[in-house]
Amino acid sequence: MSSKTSRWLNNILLMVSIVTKEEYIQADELCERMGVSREELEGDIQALNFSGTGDMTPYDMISAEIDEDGYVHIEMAGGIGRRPLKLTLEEGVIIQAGCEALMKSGFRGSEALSSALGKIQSQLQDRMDDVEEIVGRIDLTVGIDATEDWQKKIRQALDGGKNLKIEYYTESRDDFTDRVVEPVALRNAYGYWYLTAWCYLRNEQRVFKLNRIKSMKIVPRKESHACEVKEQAIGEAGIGKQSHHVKLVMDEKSGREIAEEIKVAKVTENPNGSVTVRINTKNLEWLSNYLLKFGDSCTVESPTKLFSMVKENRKRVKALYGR
Amino acid sequence: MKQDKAKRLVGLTSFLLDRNELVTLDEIHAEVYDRDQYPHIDDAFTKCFERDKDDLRDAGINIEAVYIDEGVVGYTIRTKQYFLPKIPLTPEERVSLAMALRFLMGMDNSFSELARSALLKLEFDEYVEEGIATVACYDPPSEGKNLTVIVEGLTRCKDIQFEYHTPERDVAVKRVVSPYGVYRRDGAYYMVGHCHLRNEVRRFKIDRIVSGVKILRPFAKEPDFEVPDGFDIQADAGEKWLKTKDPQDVPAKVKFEPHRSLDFANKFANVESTEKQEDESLIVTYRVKKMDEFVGWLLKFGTSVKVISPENLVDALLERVGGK
Repeated sequence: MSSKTSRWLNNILLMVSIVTKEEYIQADELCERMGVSREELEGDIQALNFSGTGDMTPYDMISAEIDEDGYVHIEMAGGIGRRPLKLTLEEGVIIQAGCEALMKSGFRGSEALSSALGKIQSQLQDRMDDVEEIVGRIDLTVGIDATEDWQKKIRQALDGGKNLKIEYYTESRDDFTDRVVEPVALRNAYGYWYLTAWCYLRNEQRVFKLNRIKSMKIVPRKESHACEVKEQAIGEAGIGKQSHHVKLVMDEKSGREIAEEIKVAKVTENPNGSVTVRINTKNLEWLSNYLLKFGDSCTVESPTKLFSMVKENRKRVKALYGR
Repeated sequence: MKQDKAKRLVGLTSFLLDRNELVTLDEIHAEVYDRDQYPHIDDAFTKCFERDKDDLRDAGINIEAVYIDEGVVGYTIRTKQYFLPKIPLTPEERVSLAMALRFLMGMDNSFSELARSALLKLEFDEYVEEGIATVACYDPPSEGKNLTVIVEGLTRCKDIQFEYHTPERDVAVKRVVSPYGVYRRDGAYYMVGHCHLRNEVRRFKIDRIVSGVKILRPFAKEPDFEVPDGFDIQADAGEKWLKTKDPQDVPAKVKFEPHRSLDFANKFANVESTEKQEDESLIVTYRVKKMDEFVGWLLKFGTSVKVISPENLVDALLERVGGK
């Protein structure tokens, strides 16, 4: 059987145990907890409905439905709903491999995590040899930047309900600003760490890349601006008022390179063998430096502002070396 | 999965758990299986039952077979082996485990799905509200589906097949690979495995796989390969490669302006030493392994980074900038 089927079965049995325990649970809440779409949940409910022993009347079978008010009902599930199924081998592997990678990166609560792992290992018993063998072949390294000190301070501030005073480098102004921020979350993306925080300087939630922070101090908090993390993907600029629509023409090799490095770039081939690359970005400053490495093999078609910026940056780099 | 199969597997599990004693094949046939499809206990029925047993075993549900009498076998699922027992975690352990698994859930791929179901199971008795999403991981979700199959191949030691794009030659070639291991760097995933086409151990970047990934022989129960003794994923993850000293490596000195002084680590050169200057800028001495990539990497910092030596690195950099 594919692990897809195995996972499906695991998830459906897990769903039965959660619904049995909760008694009243809304379909939408269940979707959120299980990480599935409403459509997937409805499919699962349908698959579960009328399962059970083949020779019985429908009254003896498991009945599963979402009622008019959006509540999920699973009846006649008997024994399978009592508790969740034990951890699968794959779940054992992710717990072990993921937690090990986190502990290596100096994750908060590493000691408690390590003792929790010990207790889970004893539950996995006979499968622990297999788990360890597989874990030895998976490496989920988390961070690559040299920002452990900042991570530690941010965690302290998050735990203690404190604010942070940071000196932060802004690329667009090529300058440092002092800011007081209220930390909301510490996140890792593309191997880098980011602080999501309420910024008192700009009065909105902002994302700060940790390796742009020059200094950091924990300061008291007077009143809280407590806000939830805005689910904006780090590193991707949404199309908004301030975003620029960039159009580049490049040779094929550079086009492939850019497509690999900037996931949001849209690359189309031209009849003459060149490629057109379209990117939406709020950060022209960053892009104008990034494009330098493509040299003459990249032409900026629009916006003209970016064209001038790249030209200017070329001049500056040459001037830096007195050429 | 087909609905009738899904219903049958749930039904079989539910029946054996509820009976909680040895039951015969006759009873299973009568109670669980569709009479129209399987009217008798014959080859077709036995095959189907054996397949279902295998499927359940793969999902971690063991149907135990015990000889009751001469020629008569009884089947059961032991509740002790089926259900997750209560794991006595302290509040601190519970919180840190919940935080760690929630962190992994942000990976948005097959690892995050597993972290989620593991967390739901471990939180069954006590839900943890603290620490939610204050520390999280975010990976681009582009590799999700392929990663699931690769992890399956890796776990079951099954050969996999896919089309892989080689950027240097811009062609997609069909490959069969024995997946030994998986690693993650900068939020991207890589697989290390024995490539049957080249007959050697190779690394593959998962987002360069341009087709779906398939298990080559999904129905064969036996594993297709053994992972060689001494296989070390950390070594293959490129760290060893970067750490080994090669006389070909080019020494280079680079100055980082203060606001870039935390950015010196990269994948193309070894850091030999760093020297903080009075003005808080940083001078880094490298041994460069991949000159072209290193130059490209330096240029993204614009004028905030300056090559001090050697002169031919400066030349390479300026030539790359172009702008005749």
